[in-house]
Amino acid sequence: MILRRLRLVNFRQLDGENVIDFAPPGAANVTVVLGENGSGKTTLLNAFKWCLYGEIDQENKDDILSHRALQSSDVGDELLCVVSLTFEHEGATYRACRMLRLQKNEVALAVPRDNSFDLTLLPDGGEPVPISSPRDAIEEMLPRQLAPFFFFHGEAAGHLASREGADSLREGVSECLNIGLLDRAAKHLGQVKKDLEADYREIASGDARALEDKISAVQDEIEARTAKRDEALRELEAIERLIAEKLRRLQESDELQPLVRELETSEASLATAKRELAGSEERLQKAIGRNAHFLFSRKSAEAVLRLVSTAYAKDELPARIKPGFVSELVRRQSCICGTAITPGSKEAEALSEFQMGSGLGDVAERLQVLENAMARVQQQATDAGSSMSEAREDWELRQSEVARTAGAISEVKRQIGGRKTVSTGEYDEIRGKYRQLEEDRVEHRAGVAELERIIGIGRYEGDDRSLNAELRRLEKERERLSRDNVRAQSIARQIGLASLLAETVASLKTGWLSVVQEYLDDRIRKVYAEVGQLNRRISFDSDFRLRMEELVDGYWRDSAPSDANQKVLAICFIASFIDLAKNVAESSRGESAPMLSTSEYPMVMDAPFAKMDSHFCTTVPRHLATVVPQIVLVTNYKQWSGEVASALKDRVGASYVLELHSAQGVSRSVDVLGREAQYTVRDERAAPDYSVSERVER
Amino acid sequence: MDWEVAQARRKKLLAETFEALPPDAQGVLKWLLSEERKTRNLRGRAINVRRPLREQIRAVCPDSSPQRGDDE
Repeated sequence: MILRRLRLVNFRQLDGENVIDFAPPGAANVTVVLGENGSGKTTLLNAFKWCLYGEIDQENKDDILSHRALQSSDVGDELLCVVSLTFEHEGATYRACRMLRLQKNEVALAVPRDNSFDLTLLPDGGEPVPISSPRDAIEEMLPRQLAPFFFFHGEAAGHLASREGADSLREGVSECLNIGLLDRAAKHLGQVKKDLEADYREIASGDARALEDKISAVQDEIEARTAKRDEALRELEAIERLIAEKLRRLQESDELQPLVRELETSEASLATAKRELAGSEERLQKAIGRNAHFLFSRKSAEAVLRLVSTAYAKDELPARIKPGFVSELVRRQSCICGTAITPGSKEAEALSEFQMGSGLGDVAERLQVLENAMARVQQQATDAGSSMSEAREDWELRQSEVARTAGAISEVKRQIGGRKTVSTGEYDEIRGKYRQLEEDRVEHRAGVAELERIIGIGRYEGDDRSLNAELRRLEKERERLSRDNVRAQSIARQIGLASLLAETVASLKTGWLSVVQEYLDDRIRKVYAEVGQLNRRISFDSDFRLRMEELVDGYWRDSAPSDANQKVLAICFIASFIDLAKNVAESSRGESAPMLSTSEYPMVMDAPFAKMDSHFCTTVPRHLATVVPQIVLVTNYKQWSGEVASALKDRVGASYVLELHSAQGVSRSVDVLGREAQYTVRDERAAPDYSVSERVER
Repeated sequence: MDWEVAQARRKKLLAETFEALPPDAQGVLKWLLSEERKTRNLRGRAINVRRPLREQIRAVCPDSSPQRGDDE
């Protein structure tokens, strides 16, 4: 199925008639549809599903008609909502058209009147030919179950690469290979065998009846063991899920561990710095108090000293002579200059007056003591000032240390972002649980293997001691015992044939799925090597699971892929799957009893590159355009601009812009591969209520 | 693995599986697969392959057929 044209009339917010002609397969096989949020990108994806299958993925499934079309119509008017898809399939051109006819009623509601779906063959130059069973024909061309692989929303695609996605992958591959045909055959053979066994039981007697009881017992035993094995498989699956979850947490923690350690160190440093800052602040406070005290004392001392000095200057105080010195002069009766101080002389009288007269000599001495004390106060005041400056410097230093550490913590937290971190203790606990789960897994696998050996399925199917082998022996015995009864013998043979055919069908299914699984495994690995270009080992295992491994300490270990990597893995699978479908289609042509029915398919993606880094945004689109025959990329400007646009610039064959409209307009432009495309948002403040598509010519 | 290799393996598997069956059983299997293929498009509808399948099997091992296998 290769898309040629999509025509929409009043479908959801895409107002009026909108036509998109898709770029055909070839060198420029990519069609880009750009639109703002709410402009109808997802609606476009829904249009394909609605047209082909009458299904729609949206909350209000009945809200299909354009609101604008409804508003601008009168009561009683007939309204049409149409999506038609023209496509090529196996060399012929078809048009699928789904039409919903509605009528506007008195309360302005659109009441559905008629819903039709047609498929028309459009021969070159000939008259269109309606296809009689359009739904069946579409189911044949693109089975509903396969559609999600070719028309998908990027956000949801990553699910395919999860453990839970394995069932979807198995179903998809089975559908592609038409394995359902073999399942139906097995089911019908099983039913016929049961009917035959019931018939046989009715006519069997003696030993034959006893044998039937044995056969029934073995069949019951097989059923019971199979149920047990299925239960064990479910438990194993649960363990696998838990292991994957623990592994993901451990890997996330491993990635975050350097940051967590840095955070822990920084937080410890911050606590220390804050403690030191508090001490420093206390010291500063004390120094400030002490300084204030000495500031006052110093001023007092300065006043006193000034007073003394002034008094000396005004001769209001005697000279600064010590009384002992004066007594010595009097005793020696001689001055230090050698002049004799004779009793009764003028000098002797002066000294005597000094000694006896006013007692000021003592005052001078006390003044000296005061002067010295004041000098000490001054010194202490100076010291207090210096201490305060030092304390302030220390405080400022510690404050900046606190700010620096807090800044470092913010930066680490920014790097950690919203990711969940675990403490070292929690980390050890998770690791312990992970190891325990791995042991449980080994034990459960051994349990499943043992049950399979007992039943004789899978790789144990050849085991002679198995229940299935026993059943086969008993069934042969049944044929032998029936020798004397022609009818019983015949039914026994019929049962044997039904068994043999059922085994053959099962073996065909297992073998065919295994071949294709190996093919896809190899293919996906190659595609990922091109688009991923990371040191990861990719596989598509026999459980139909997409796995990713990475090198840890020299060993390849299961890795829990990130969201972006899951999405890339899923896209690699889809690309490989499209390739498989094409190959299967080519191989099945001309087969006499074909089990296969597929075709060439496009890849229609809505927002596939969201959350991908620039590496994937370059490698994924570039490689996809070379391996997928036709790509329709529906995206917003942000995801389109930059790497994706550069990667696809030579591959784009058609581009469209979805214009948003509301009551009043604001014009904007967008660069589409070097050409400026205009689009209009009629009022930025009002919610846009409809949009139309506009082709951008290169 | 290239598609050609996968395709060759599939064909070999198909051939070997069919060859392992007695010729009349091969006929029944071919008939059954062809019938089941017809029903692909009738997904979800009532299909009754059971009765004709039993007839096919009965045709290979008729109720009145002479004994085979041990006597041969």
